[in-house]
This record gives sequence, structure tokens and C-alpha cells, in this order.
Amino acid sequence: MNNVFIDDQSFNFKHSTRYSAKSKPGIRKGLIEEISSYKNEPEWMLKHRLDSLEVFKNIKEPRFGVDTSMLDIQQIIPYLRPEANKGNNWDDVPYEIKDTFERLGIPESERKALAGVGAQYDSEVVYQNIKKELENMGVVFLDMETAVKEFPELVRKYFMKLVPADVHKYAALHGAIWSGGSFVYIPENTEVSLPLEAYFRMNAQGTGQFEHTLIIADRGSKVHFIEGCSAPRYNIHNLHAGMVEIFVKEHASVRYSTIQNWSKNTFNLNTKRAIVEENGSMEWISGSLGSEKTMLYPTTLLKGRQSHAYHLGVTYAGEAQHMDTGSKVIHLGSGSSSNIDMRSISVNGGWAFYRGLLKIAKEARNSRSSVKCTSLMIDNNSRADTYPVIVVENNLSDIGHEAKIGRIGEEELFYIMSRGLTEDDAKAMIVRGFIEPITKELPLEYAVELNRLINIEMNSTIG
Amino acid sequence: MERVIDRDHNNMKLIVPGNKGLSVNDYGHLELSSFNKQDGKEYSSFKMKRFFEYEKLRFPDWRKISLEELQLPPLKNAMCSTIKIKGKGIYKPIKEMNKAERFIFESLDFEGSDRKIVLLADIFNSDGNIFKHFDTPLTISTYSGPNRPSYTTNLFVIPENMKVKIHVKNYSEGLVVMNNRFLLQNGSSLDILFSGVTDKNAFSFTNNLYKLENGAELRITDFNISDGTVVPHHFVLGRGEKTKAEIIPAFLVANRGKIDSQYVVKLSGKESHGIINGIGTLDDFAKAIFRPSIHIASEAKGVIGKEQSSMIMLSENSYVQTIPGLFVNENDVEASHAATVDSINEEHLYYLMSRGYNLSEARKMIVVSMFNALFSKIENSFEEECERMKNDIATRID
Repeated sequence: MNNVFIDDQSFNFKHSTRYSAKSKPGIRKGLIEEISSYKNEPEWMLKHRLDSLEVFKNIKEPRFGVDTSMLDIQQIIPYLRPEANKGNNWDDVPYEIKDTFERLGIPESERKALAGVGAQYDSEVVYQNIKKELENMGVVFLDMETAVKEFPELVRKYFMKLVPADVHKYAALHGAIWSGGSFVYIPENTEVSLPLEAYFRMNAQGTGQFEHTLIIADRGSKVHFIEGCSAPRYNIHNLHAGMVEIFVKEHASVRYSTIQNWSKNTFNLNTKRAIVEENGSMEWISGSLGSEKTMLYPTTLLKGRQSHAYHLGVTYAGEAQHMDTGSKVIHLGSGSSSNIDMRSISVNGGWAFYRGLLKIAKEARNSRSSVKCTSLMIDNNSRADTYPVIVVENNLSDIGHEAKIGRIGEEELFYIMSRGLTEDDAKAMIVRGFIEPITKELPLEYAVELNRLINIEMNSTIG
Repeated sequence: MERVIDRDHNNMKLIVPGNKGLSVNDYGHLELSSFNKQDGKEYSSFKMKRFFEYEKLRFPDWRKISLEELQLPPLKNAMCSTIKIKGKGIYKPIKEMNKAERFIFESLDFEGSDRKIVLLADIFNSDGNIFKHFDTPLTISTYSGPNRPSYTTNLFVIPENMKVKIHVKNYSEGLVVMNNRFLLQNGSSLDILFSGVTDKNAFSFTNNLYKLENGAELRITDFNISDGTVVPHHFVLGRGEKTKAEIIPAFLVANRGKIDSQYVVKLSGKESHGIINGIGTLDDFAKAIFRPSIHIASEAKGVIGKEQSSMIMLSENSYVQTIPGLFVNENDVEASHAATVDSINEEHLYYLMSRGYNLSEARKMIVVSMFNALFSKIENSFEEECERMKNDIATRID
């Protein structure tokens, strides 16, 4: 039998952690008030949370995508504060938390290749640091709670303006209960040459993580942000309902890379959106590997003239995984362009569903878009679907879409084997080649990690 | 009942949007009983069973193609189809269906573009036939006038190894709802052309299900010209091995016309082929939704499924939504789709205008030539109709 699997053992370790606060399961007004009070939030943020709670109470489940009926939000522990002080020194982080991040390679990556790191453990950020020279240039990289206090006007202007609470149920939930996440501000004409990274670790069972990432790339700036996520596996459900909002100003450029490897008991119902002004550029590079069920469609609104979006991603659906992923690009500005290349691998009975939206609005004249979906089915117990919606409202744009679903080609396999490789090695090479467009866009350390994650073991012939 | 999308896979479930429903003045028990006297026993029971389902449903509240202006005219005004058969053929009214024919009917049950609309024609048809044992070209013409609806339900059983050609013509100035169910028995072949013209303020719904047994071959050409609302739904079930299905959708929608078309090829037999190759042109304030999809079942090894579509927008006020779906449960297959949405190629226009044609002539030549490429495939089978359709296109582009 063919067997391609994710090696998640390096993520599947558990630490017994001390918590200074652990909420009861369920979402209620009193808890939200307590969280807001603990975070010492301004009145407007508490109001925002309570308004979102009202939306959450009255909104229905999304009418598409994965089945969430077995996820009981009232059984989820929404807030879990580790016993740790937020700081910028790893030595101050409690041993078991530090060890977790050491094993995930975060401090090492920070030393080698990052401009700044934020590390969140369950509901709170426990470590946040940025290189001094970037700080001197005016680059802001903070946890969201600190940003709410130190940059209230900026946060208030942008927070959940791109993804309002009434967009869907999990956005409303997020608006009510969000905790942690990162705030990034890149000043005008500033280029951050090394990536910033935020790592989110959900350590306890039956919990939810609701971090909020807000990035503002001012005019002419450039930044690469990396997001990593993982959790050990438990027998009851965990929920991740984070949110990412990115504002790309005129001539600015943002790349957002994600390696998501939640454990197989996690519902990953995440929302990511970017809005791009004139001549700005937004790139989403995504590797969605873990979770039991995922609904995630990074979205770009191309508002400005000549703005550009690039969506590149691979989704891996292994045993008992239902991955409903895709991308959405909405062209509003004239001469805007987008390039979407989404890939999926289905194996061991997994289900990869590509759901896409490409919309060319009436005013987005002379826009161009190319959409490509490719699915690789390793065995015939798995399923791969593509469901792209293409909407065009003007006659001056060019849109091309193509999709292909199939298995590893026998001719490719034969060719590689004729060069002396075993069948398993040949298959592994083909799968690595399949995801290469994604790995080559990642920093080396992450590319190696992605390749290592998609480890391949094959014992027999195809079919 | 056959559904377009399989919602389950290995204990996982897909959530598919439901429909809120629309309030339309509806037929009820009164209309049902007015026809009962002429019905045979089997048909009467068939109809009643469906009516129980029908009365619980509402008409669809589609977002893009609104049915809010849909009115069901008095049933007593309903029109009948005209059937022309060159040569011999055997058919009988659906009202006289026997137990075996009812069984076939019920085994070919489906959702269609909307279940309520399928049931409407199954229950309230003024006209419907069961076609068997025919071996010659068959033409069925339907017409609906203002306040004169046409509701039809047909069953076609294409016998083993028989080759059949059918032309279904529809001219709608009012409301047309037509259901056709086809059983293509082993080794049979069906070449069917639908040509429809839907006028302003008219509605046309055609729901068609085709079940293919081993080695059966099917070619559907669905050509629509519309200034009104047209909703074609063609659903091919390739149950047998080595079946072949080709669907050629083509439409020209203009003024404030709307089309919401769905073409589904669902293959579960080994080494079967399914191809959907469509073209659509939109002018003025036209709106089009084009939904081709190919579904391949587990163990359907060696299947080839391909979709291709090209939408041409002639006006800056038109709107197109295309959703080319692939749903694949087997890895030993080739499944692909390609779609483009574009305006008329400027280089082609420039070339023709440099040869002395004015803009309008050049535009017309390009559009007609695109459809010609498509009609050339079916000219041998439907020569006369192809000429008529070409003329219709040329007239419309003028």
C-alpha cells in the first residue's frame, strides 16, 4: 500500500504547564469582561468585544464547507493564560514553555534568520522581540495587547475593519474573545530585509486559540511575515479561530508565509484578508498540513490601480482530514493583476477541497488573472475536488483558469526509476517537485521543514 | 434521488448551501384533481407521491438569476408539444405508464436545477410521453405563449445497440418547464440537439437526466438564444463501463437576458469518457452563470474527464460567473478543466478591419466563426438546424 504521511511527531509533544488563569468552557459575557479587564483594555475594545458577542449569538453556521456539528463551542476553553511574564528575553520564559519553543526551533531561527519573533503559548504571547536597528527605524512589532495600549489610534482605525464581526460566525467569535497575536507597522519607504515571525502553540486540550494579527505596511515599505502554528494531539477537539488583517499601502509589498501544522483534533477555522492600494503587492505563501478540519481562504482585495496579488499554496489532506481551503481575490482597481497557484495532496482517505473566488468588478478594467489548481491523489481512497468561482463584470479583462487532478504519472515515475532510484524514492522526488514552487518561496529553514514534514514512505506500485 | 454533489467521504461531510425559498402563487390540490380523471392507475399514484413532496417545497430564491417575476399561469391554459417523427416510432402518453415504466421513471429521479421545478413538470404536465423502439430522427417542439405555459415530462428508453437522433426545439414567450429522462441501454447511442429561443420576460427550465449503461454513447448539444430567463440542466450518469458523454453547451444571451446553466457528468464506470466543451457570448446587460462539473467515483479507473469553456463578453455591462468543478474520488484518472473569460480578440478585429470590414461586421464575423467551429461538429447530424442557428446568431449580432 502506498503510504505518504506527515511526520508530526516532532510537534506532538506535551508539557505540563502552569497556568495563572483558565476559563471555564464556553463563551459568556462575564468572561469577556474579565479578559478585557485583565488586559486593561480601553472602553472601545470592550465594546467591540461585546458587540461581537451579540453578533455571535445571533449568527448561523456557515452554509458551506466542512461539517462543524461535532464542534461544541460551549465545551471549548476559550482563555488560558500561562504563568509567564511577557518579555523579550528567552531566559525569562518558564522552562517548559521555553523548551517547547526550543524544540520547535524558534530561538534558533531567531538567531539565524529573523528580524523579530513573537511566541504565543495558548492565549497569551510569552515572548516578543525585534532587532534594535529595526526598532530604531520605526518598525513596530508588538503583541496585540501592548499595541492596543501603545498605538490606540492605529489599532482602533484598522482592527477588524477588513474582517468585521458579522462576516461569519467564527469572525464574530474571534471579535468577542480574541487574545494574543501580533501588531506590525512598517513606516513609509522602509524595507525589512529579514522576515518577522510569529509562532502560535496551542498546548492544552479542549482549548481555543484566537490570536489577532494586524499588519500595516505603509507607503513604499516591504516586509515578509512568517506564521507558524502547531499543537500536540488530544482526543477532544481544539479550536483555532485566528484572524489576520493586512493593509498594504501604495507601492508597498507584503509577503505572508504560513506553515500550519495543527494537530489532528483541531478545527482550524481561520480568516485572513489583505487590502492592497495602488501599485501595492500582496503575496500569500501557505502550507496547510495539519488539523482535522480546516476552512481557510486567504483573501486579497485589490483596491488600488495596478495592484497585484500572488497566492501560492499547498494543502495536505491525510487520514481523516477534511481540508476545505482555497483563495479569494477581488479585483476592484483598474489594471490590477493576480496569479493564483494552489496545489493539494490527498492521501490515506483524506479530502482536499479547493474553493476559490476570483472576482473582477465592473470598475476593474484591464485586469488580468491566472488561476491554476493542481491536485495529486496518492491513492484511490482519497478525494480531491476543485470548485472555483469566477465572476467577471467587465469586458476588458483577461481571465484564465485551469485545473488538473490526477495521480503520480507512470511515465515520470518510470523515467526517474530508469535513472537508478527506487520506486519509493522516485515517488518522494515527484511529490517534492510538486510542492517545490511553494518551498522555493520560503526561507531555507522553512523550506527544509516543509519538505521534512511531507515525508514519504511508499512500498508498492501505483494503483 | 440523484444529487449533483456527493456530500460524504469516509465519515466526513460537506455542507452545501440550502435555499431560503421564494413565494410564488402555486398550484395545489385543485389543479391536481382537475387532471386526475384522465390518469391511469400507475401515473395517478406516481403523481400523488410527488405532489406530497412538491407541496412542502418552495421555489428557489436564486441570488443571481432571480425568479421573483415568475408567475404560474392558470393550468387550463397549458400548451402541448408537437412531436414529429420521420419514419416509425412508438410512444405513448405518460398518463398510460405501466408498472415497469414507472419503475424506470422512478429510478431516474433527480434534483435538477431545483427539485420543486422538476416536480412541477412531473405532476402538472399537460403533455408527456414515453418513447421506446424508435430508430429514426425525432423532433419535439414546444411552445409557450404569454399566460400559456408548457409543462412536459418525457421518458426515452434507447434500446440496446440502437443509434438515435433527437432534436428538441423550444420557443418560449411564456413559461416552459420540461423534464426529460433518458435511459441509454448497453451499446446504444444518442445524439441530441436542444435549440431554444427564450423571449424577453419568458422563463425556460429544462431538466434532463441521462443514464448510460455499458458502452453507451451520448452527445448533447445545447444551444440557447435568450432575452429572457433560461435555466438548462443536463445531468449525465455514466454508470456503465466504457461510456462516452460529450456535452456541447452554447449560448448567446443579450438585452437583459439571463442564463443559469448546469452541465454535470458523473462517471462511475471504468474507462469512461466525459467531455464538456462550452462557449457563451453575452451582449448588452446579459447575465450568465455557467456551471460545468465532472464527478468521478471511486474505482472508476481509467476515466478521462475534461471541461473547457470560453465566455466572450461583448458589452461592458454584461456579467458572467463560471464555476468549473471537478470532484474526483479515484486517482487512476485524468481530470482537468480550463476556462477563459475574455472580450473579442482585438488583434482579430484589427486584422478584419484592415481588410475593409467595419467594426460591426468584423465583430459579427468573429462571433459567428466561433459558433461555426462548434456547429461543424454536429452539422452531419443536424444540418438544417445548424444553418438555422447560424442565421439566428448572425441576426442577433446585427
